[in-house]
Parts: sequence; C-alpha cells; structure tokens
Amino acid sequence: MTRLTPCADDRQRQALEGFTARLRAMHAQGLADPGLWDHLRARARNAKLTYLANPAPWLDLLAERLEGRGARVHFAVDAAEARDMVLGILQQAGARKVVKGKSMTCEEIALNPALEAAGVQVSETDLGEFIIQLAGEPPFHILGPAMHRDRGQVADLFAEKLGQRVPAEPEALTKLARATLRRRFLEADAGISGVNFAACREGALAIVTNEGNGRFVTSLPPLHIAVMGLEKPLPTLADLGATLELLTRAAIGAPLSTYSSWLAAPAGLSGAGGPRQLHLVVVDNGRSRILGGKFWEILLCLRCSSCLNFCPVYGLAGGHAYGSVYPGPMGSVLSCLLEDLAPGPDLAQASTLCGLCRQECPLGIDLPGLLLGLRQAGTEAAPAANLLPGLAAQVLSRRGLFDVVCRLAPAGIKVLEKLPEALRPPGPWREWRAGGRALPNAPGHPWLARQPREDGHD
Amino acid sequence: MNHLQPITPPPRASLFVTCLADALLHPVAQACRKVLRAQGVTVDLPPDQVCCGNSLHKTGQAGAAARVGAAWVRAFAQGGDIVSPSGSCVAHLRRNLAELLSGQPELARLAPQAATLVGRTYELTEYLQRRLGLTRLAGAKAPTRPWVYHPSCGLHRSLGEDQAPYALLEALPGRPRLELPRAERCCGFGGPFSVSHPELSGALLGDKLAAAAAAGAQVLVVGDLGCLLHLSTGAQARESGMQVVHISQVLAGEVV
Repeated sequence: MTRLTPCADDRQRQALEGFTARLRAMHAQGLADPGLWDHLRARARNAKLTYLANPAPWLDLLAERLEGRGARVHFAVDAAEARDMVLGILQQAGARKVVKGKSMTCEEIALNPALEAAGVQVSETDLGEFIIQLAGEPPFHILGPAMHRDRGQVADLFAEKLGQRVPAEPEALTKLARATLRRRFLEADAGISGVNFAACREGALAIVTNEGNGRFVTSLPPLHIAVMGLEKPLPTLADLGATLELLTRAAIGAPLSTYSSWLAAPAGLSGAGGPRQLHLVVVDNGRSRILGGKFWEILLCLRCSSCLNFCPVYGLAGGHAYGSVYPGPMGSVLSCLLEDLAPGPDLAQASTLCGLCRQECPLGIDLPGLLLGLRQAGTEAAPAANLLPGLAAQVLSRRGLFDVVCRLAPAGIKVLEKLPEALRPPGPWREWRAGGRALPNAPGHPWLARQPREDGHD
Repeated sequence: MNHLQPITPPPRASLFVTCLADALLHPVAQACRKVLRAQGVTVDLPPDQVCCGNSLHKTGQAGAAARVGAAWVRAFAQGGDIVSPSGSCVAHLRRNLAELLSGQPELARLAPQAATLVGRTYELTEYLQRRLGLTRLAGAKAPTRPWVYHPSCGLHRSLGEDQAPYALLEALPGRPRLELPRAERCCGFGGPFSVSHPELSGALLGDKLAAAAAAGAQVLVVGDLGCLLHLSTGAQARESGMQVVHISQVLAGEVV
C-alpha cells in the first residue's frame, strides 16, 4: 500500500509553508475574542446538530419553499446520479457552455469530466480553480486549490494555455484571467455553483466567495444549477448568521467573506434579473450512511480548512499526496468514509494524532478520534493482520514474558545491526532507521526487576 | 528548603513506569521516583505492571489493547494514587480504557474498576502541581546549558495538561527556558506513525531538532516518552549534538 511522503518539489513545499502559515495567522486573528468564538461555536454546533438529528423533514421544508418560488429540487443518491441529473438539466435546456463556481462537492462527484465527455464546455471561474483546470490538476487545498503554484508557474501556464505572456505579477495575471473569464460569463448558457449553507425554514441558499465570480455564475446565465452536499443545510436563517461568521472567522479570520450571496428563487417572481431557471441538486453520495454510523461527526465539517493548515502531515506532504479529493485530517476521514475504505494510501494511518486539528476545528470535531475509529474498522476488516498485535498483547500483559523480551533485546538489536541491509528481516526496526533514527540502546533488563518494591519513608 | 505543604497522611503513590521507560528509558524511571521521593512521596512499584495498551490502541487493535488494559487494571488493583511519566498513556487510560474493556464480553466486568483506577491516575507534572499543589520542587534545577521545552501532544493536548509542566519549569532555579518556535507542532513520533510513515516522521523530527537549535538550545526537554525515544535516537543518528531529556529528569535535578 502506498504511503504519504514529504512533498519532493521545493517550490511546492515553500508555497505550502507560506500559504498555511498565512492561514494559521488569519485563523488566530479570527478567534482573537474567545467569548465571541465560544458563542459562535455553540450556536453553530447546535444548529448543525438540530439539522443532522433528522434531516429529512428539514430537506422537505427547504424543497417546498424553493419549489414554491419556482425553483426545482432534485435528490441524488450517489455521484453518478448527481452527474446524470446535472447533465440532464443542461441537455434539456440545450446548454453547451457552462461557467462554474468553486465547489468541492462538484470535485467529489467528478462533475467536470462527465460534462466534458458529453460535449459540454466547462469553465472554472474561481481564480484558483481556473488555474488548476488549465493545468489539468486536482485541487491541492480545499480553500486555495492552486496554492502550490507560484506566480512564475502561473505566468508560464497562462502563456502556454491562453497564448498571452504577461508579467508574473498578481495584478497582471488576475487581469488576464478576468479578461478571459468575462467573455465566458457573457457567453455561458448555464452556471453551476456549490452551496455553503441553506436555511430550510426560509428556503434560501448561501454561497460564500471572495472573488465575486460566484455572483456572475449564479445571476448572469439563464440557468443556475446549485450542487449541495446533503449535510449543508441549517434549520433557519438565524442559525446561518452564526455559522457563516464562524466559517469565515476560522477560514480567513474575518467576520464575513467579501461576497455572501443569498439565493431563494429564479427570476420572474419580482421581475428582477437573475436566471430564469434555478435547480438545486442535493447530493447524498454516502452521507446518509455516514450519518447512521459511528463516524457521523465528520458531517459537522464546514470545510474551513483549519485542520489542513495546522496539520503537520498535510504541511509537509501537501494535498496531492493524499490521492483523494479532500486532503488533510478532515479529508482523510471523509475520503475513507465516502469511498468505503477504498484502496489508495491508507489515510487513517496518515496522522500522528497530535490533536491540533481537534483543537483548531471550529466545530470541535474529534478528528483524531475518528481516525482512530477508522483504524479500528480497518483491523476488524482484516483479521489476518491481528497476528502480530496479538503476540505483542501477550508480551505486554505478562510480566514474566516482558522480562524475558527485555533481557533478549540487546542481543536481538546487535544481530539486526550486524546484518547487511538486504538480509535484515522486514519489521518496524527497518522503518525506524529509515526515519533517520538509531536503534535504541537496550539496557538488557527491565528497570523494575532491580528495584525494591516499596519505599520506606525517606 | 522543603516547599512541601503539610499533607496528612503523607502522600503515597504507585508509579506506573510504562513499558517504554521500563524496557528502554531507565533514566526516566529513575528520575520519576527520585522527584517524587524528594517531595516526600512514598513510591510503590506494583510488581505485575507492564503496559497500558496505548500503542496497540493507536494501531487500531481494540481487542489486543483491551487485553493489555485488563492486565494493567489487575496490576494496579490495590488502589491509591497512580503516577506515570507519560501524558499520552494517562490520556489513553482516562479516555479509552473503560470503554475498551466494556467492548470485550469477557473483560467487561473490569470496566467499573478501571473507571475508578483511572480517576486516580495522574501524569507526573499534573500530580506534582495539581494533586500535591507544588510549584517549586525540592531538588529540581534547570539545565545549565541553554534549553527549550517541547510541549508534547500527548501531555498538552490529548491529556489537556497545558499548564502544570510550564508552571514547574518556570519555577526552576537556574537558567530560564528559551522559547521554542512553533513549539506546539508535533515532533513526528505519533506511535505507529513513526514506522508507518518513516519519511514524514523523520522530516518532522529534523524540523523539531532544527527549531531547538535555531532557538540557541543545546538541551531539548520533552514532555512525553515516545517523543523522547524518537528525538533522542534521531539526534544520535544525525549526530546533531542536541541532548534530549524528559521533563522528569529536569525536575529531579539530573540534567546538568
């Protein structure tokens, strides 16, 4: 089984370090007022729990409200059905050109390849997503999908793919991207976006962006399709206020993002502008199954990315090493669950369980506990792997046996050290040394064996 | 000379040495007993103790961890306060032991006893500072060479004891502690992670040693045992010259 290793690309590693450091600083700024932070956390957690305790009636209410205003709501059981639904809506409207807002849920269901295969032209409009779409890469980070590419690399990429060389300066690069995207916004037959939150009682969708592209996507083309994970809704608009503030404080240290859009109806109701058609596709894709099991807590996740930015493993390995759509601690948990422990790097093991993720998570999700639970689920599914641990348990629960092992250890270590590398039996000692560590000096007896059992008074 | 507040009856505690200190880290076991005795604590060494099952639990082996945990309960069944140099192990005992035992039909009857025992189990600095109410320890002194402290994840986050180690270290006579940059960042040990992901584990190890050196330290004091084994054998293999010691060794006045 492949395992995560430190990112080998020096530029990527530097970008990773700089980006996560900036986000950690912003996160710290966002929670500078501990009283407010605790208040928001309690409100948000309560709102999420209220919804997740019984999502069905809330979803029904959300659908009823939205449809009452002329929108259409669809429920997709899995990724394939979600892709088919989106494609079906586009085809029915005769839409060939699509502009997209940044959406991890769309990444999860692998929407773009499916649309492109059906002849639909898809343009990502979030600057980071625009870059990685040109590069043909998956996101490196759930907040900054292209953060692993420095400005020089972006300038080269633009020159190659857009046919125009501009200085490797953020302003020049953004201007070029904007000029390219403006045309696509105007030509688009449809816009596809994600959804950050929904308020069920009022029937509104919330989309949080920092670049303004989200508003073009959701208002300019005649058709808007919003794709939402089943865990995203909250009971009411009042819940949304606190949860939104918590998200943006945790993610970027600000009480609000640059743009927060509230969508409740297609055009026509008030005579105002906007898309003539609004569709919401609610994606289950394993979420109901997760909600019914012992790992349900991961559905509290707001995708703020704090756990990625504080994780020592993510900070060295980077997003692509995970081989999954969602990287970092939340990504390891969610990917294992969504893919039902599918092959790939064993993500449940890819953590030191240091607990920084739990400490910094705005919802207080016990990510180390969930990773531990996944490790347990893994061992239960593979009983053959329990042989060695069973032996270890014998030694570690019997004083006499433990004493014998302690006495034999120095001889064993000596043998291992003398053997040429190729002849050394596989085992943890190999990996211990591979991590740049000497084998420990074994004293040759347990400490307890040579101590008096009880103190007199000193 | 002695800052011990009068406690009647005089404190008495069983030392849970941990399998790691018992097998490989004898100076830590020695230092724990010494620092406790110096504060007037009578130290018992229950003879059947071995391990709490922490590392097996971290590999996902619930059944094996429960069997080891059951042996731990039997070894410490005599009661009284239990003190251990590992915050990670104490956190495991408090968070998981009773639940692990309840999950195994043949061991479930031990769960209530386990809950009682872990309720009186303390990590060393926690015991000294919170249970005994001590801050200036008899016999403790700061390292004479420049030093930093790595607040180990097991002690400071899993157990949540983020105050006692600092309070005890701040009160040491002698050279004051230097600030360790990004101190809260893991050293890369992580139990099974140290061998399942050797490249990442080794890279984090290198970063920790480099951070200590950048702070001007020659001595790196750590709060837990896994980090100690990992960082000290790492410093040895890399010939970094950094002396890596456990906090108990400083509190016992054994680091010069």
